[in-house]
Parts: sequence; C-alpha cells; structure tokens
Amino acid sequence: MTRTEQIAQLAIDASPRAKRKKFSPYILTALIAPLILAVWWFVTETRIVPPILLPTPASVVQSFPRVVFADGFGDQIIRTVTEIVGGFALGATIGFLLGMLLSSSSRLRAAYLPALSALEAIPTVILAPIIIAWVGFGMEGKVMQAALACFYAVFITTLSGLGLAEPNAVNLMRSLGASRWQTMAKLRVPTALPVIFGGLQLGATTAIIGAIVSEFIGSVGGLGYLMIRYRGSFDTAAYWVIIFFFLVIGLVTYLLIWYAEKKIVFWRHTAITRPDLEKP
Amino acid sequence: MTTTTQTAPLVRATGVTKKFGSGDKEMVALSGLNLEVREGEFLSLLGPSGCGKSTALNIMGGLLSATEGSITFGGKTLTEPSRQIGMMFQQAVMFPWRTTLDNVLLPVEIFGESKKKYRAKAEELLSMVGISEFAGSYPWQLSGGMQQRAALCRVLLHDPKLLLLDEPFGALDEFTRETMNQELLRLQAHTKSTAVLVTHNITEAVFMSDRVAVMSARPGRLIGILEIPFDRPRTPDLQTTSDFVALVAEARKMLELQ
Ligand SMILES: Nc1ncnc2c1ncn2[C@@H]1O[C@H](COP(=O)(O)OP(=O)(O)OP(=O)(O)O)[C@@H](O)[C@H]1O
Ligand SMILES: [Mg+2]
Repeated sequence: MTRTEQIAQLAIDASPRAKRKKFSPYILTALIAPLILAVWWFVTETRIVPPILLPTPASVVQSFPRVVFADGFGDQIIRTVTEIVGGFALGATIGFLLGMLLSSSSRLRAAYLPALSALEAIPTVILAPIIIAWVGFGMEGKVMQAALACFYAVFITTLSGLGLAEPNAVNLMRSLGASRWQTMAKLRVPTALPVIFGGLQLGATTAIIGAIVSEFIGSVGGLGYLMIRYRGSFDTAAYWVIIFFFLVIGLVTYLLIWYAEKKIVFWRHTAITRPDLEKP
Repeated sequence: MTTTTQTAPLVRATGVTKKFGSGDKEMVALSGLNLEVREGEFLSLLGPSGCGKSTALNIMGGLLSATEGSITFGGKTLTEPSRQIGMMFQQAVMFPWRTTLDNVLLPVEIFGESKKKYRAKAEELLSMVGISEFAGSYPWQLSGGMQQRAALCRVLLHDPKLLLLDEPFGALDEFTRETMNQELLRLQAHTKSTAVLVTHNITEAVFMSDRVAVMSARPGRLIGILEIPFDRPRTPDLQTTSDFVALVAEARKMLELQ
C-alpha cells in the first residue's frame, strides 16, 4: 500500500458506514425474537395470563402441524392471499389514478380533496357488515374491503408526490413545449415514485387488515374464517397459529414491495453513495 | 463591428414590464425593457442580483408572460415556448432515472421525433464536451461540471436558433466555469446560434459577449449597452489586455452610476 492508499484505508475504516457493515442488522432482528418469546413464555407459564387468552409458546408449536395439515388449509390461505392481492391491486390503481386526476386540477382538488379526506376518517371496518349485506359472504366483498382500506394511502401519497417536481425541471419541460401528459409521465410520476412506494407499503398493510377483518366479520372461507372456527371451539393455540400466518403474509408483502422499490426507484438507492467510489 | 449591416433582430422586446403580485403586494420586477437580440450574436444581460434578469429571460423564452409590452421572435409575437428556443438554467436539471445519453435525447423525445435519428448526434456532442465515456452513466455518477456539460449537449441537440442561458455555470467553481465558458463559445460558434447569457459577473460578460446589456437594480431597467469589439475565437489571455480591462471598468462604472 502506498501512503495515500493507507490514508484512504484509514478514512474508510473510520467512517461509521464501514463499521456498521461489520455486523448485519438481522442480528438485531434475531435478538428481539428470543426476548419476545421469553416474555411470552414467562407470562403464560406463570399463568399471569390465563391460557384461554394466551396459549403457551409450546402449545402453539404443537398445534402447528394440526392446523397446517388440516383439510383445505392450503385453499384457505390461497383464498385470503388472493383477496389481499386483488384488493390491493384494485385499491392502489384507483388511488394512483385518482391522485393523478386531482393533481392535474386545483379545481378538482378544491372540490373533492376535503370530502375524500373526511371519508378516510371513517374506519373502513365499520363498512364491512354493509359490504357483506350488499355482495354477500364471497370473495368480492373481501376484495372491495381491502381496496377500500388501502386506496387512500396510495391516493394521498401520489397526490403529494406529483407536486414534488423541482420548478427548474418543470420549466425545462415547459421550455421544450412538453404537454401536460408528457410532463406527468416523464417528470412528475418518476419524481413521485419514492413517495408513492411509501404509500404502497402502507396500503399493503391496510389491505391485509381490510381483507382479514372482513373475513372475520362474516365469511365462508379464508384464514379469518378459520379463526372464527377455532375461536368457537376455544382452540386458542390454533388461533395463534393463524396469527402467525398473518405475520408471514405481512412480512412477505413488505419484502416484495421493498424489492420492487429497490429495482424500480434504483436511482434513489444509489444516489446517496457513488458506486464508482464504493470499495469492491 | 457589424452594426452597419442592419438585419432584422431575432428577438425584439418592446416596453416589457413584469409585475408580480397585486394590490399592496405588487412588485415591479422589470420595467419597460427595450432590447433587440441580433441574429448570431452573443449578448449578455448583466445586473445585480434580483434586478429581473431571470424574469426577462423567462419572458423571452415564453415561460412567463409580460404584464405590459411584447416580445417578438423571428418577427412573430411570442406567446408560448418555442422549439427554436433552448433554455439552460443554473442547475443542470438532469433526471436521475435517465442515463446521460437519454437525458440529452429528452428534447427530441418530447418533440415526438425518432431518438434513433438523433443518437449519433447526441454522442458526437457528448464527445465534443469530453464526456462520451459517461453516455451510459446516470447523472448522479457525474460531477457537477460534467452534468452541466451534458445539459449543454441537451440544449444544443435540436439546433435551436436561440439559446437562453440563465447563469448556466453559476453553481460551478471558478476554474470549471472558465473551461465551460470556452466550451460554450466554441459550440455556439460551431452551431451559429444566437445566445443570451444572464450573469452578474462583469469579466465573464465582457469576455463572452458581442454586446453587454447592463441593467439597474430593482425595478430592473436597461441602463445601456456596451459593444465588445474583440475578434473571435477569444482566448483567456485577452483578459489581461488593457482594452479588455478598460471595457470591464466601463461596465462597472455603468453599474455603479445607476
Ligand atoms: N414568481 C415570482 N413571484 C413573485 N416575485 C418574483 C417571482 N419571480 C421573481 N420575483 C421577484 O422579481 C425580482 C426579480 O427576480 P429575478 O429572478 O428575475 O432576478 P435576477 O436578476 O435573476 O436575480 P439573480 O441574479 O439573483 O438570479 C426579485 O425581486 C424576485 O423576488
Ligand atoms: Mg436569476
């Protein structure tokens, strides 16, 4: 190593970035799980919380195969996931298009934004019985419920994201004689993407909640339906196994959207560090 | 000097006034600007900060409308941006999701012309400003100076008749700015375009221009126009000649006497 290289290396070693790289953040994740388990184990074994409310970790693990290999479990999980994905796709599309529409006209904003925001203050959960009364216990109602639960997050982030383009960038587009649509597609939407992904991440969570709550309130299938059944037979351990699957669905959704964001909004993840200056 | 061959001006501003706000908050940014930009010339707008240089340039580019007065471009009244006018701003304004080449090709994409047709030209321009090996890189992989070079290529791609440059290198360091100014002069001569440069640097204005329009502090008015008779191409050692120093002093006096 030359002297300059040595100094450069020292600088790299001293930078907090390099230090943080030495241990994975997943160690922190791994540390939190035993902690929660320990508290859970403690409060159930000592019967501070009665088993009918919270089963012991051991009994949940024991119930696992019973629940998973029960007849039709796969169908139920597919059903719920389909409702979530369908509702999310529908709600996010409506939210995005509505965001675009309202961002293009201050008159439309003045006319509808307060009303839309006021509507969002109504918990969508209370609409579940009404939707069921309308369309019945089938999947359509759950899709509608999930869509309703997630559209606003995508709508409001799209609306504010589309307004984030730099005045100079807008002037550049105008000086080139770009149409409104061109400015939207080539400047405003890409600028808004990082913010919209925040809305998608949030919306995915609320879509999951929407679908499950709707199943829980009244359904003929899906994980929520299983939960009602297990609750009916006071099978708390099995109930918690289903909760575990909601956790898995939530985690997978988060990871998928996170990955999509990393790929699609690639410039945001790379703009912070210059790859050409990065150590191999 | 070419004052004897009087051709019709490319741009003519007649009594251009711009007011921002209304009522109590009304503010005159630009007051009765009369200015002609001749075909093929390099004109600088020189004045203190806030005197309405950017406002004047944006009106010439059709981005802003004048409160009073009018602008003609090529003999016709200008009411909206024109493809014949290319604008450059203090920031490079490169879209981070596009490669340098795609950023340079943005204008023709917006005009709905074939990008393929212009690709070779874009690459040629990039190599003329010495960043051809960065064609496939993203703007955030380029230095500030390189980004402005790319922005220069972008504005020149579709051969606009008129270049409106609002302190395009103002954010760069002194050294890079001088190099970029040289680059700009070379390319402007090469494309035979007309240029209007906004600056508050007196030496830069005198060095670059055929004429320097000196403006007063707010509300911006035109104080006078200084003819700069030096031959082209100009080299940096021009700046040490006594004629050059005298013209810089004269411009400074105009600015101070207002
Ligand atoms: N959109 C606007 N709304 C209200 N006032 C404005 C607007 N744009 C410019 N102004 C005002 O008009 C005046 C002239 O602004 P302008 O940007 O043209 O100045 P400038 O000569 O380009 O200054 P600088 O050299 O600092 O860029 C300033 O006082 C500014 O505050
Ligand atoms: Mg300005």
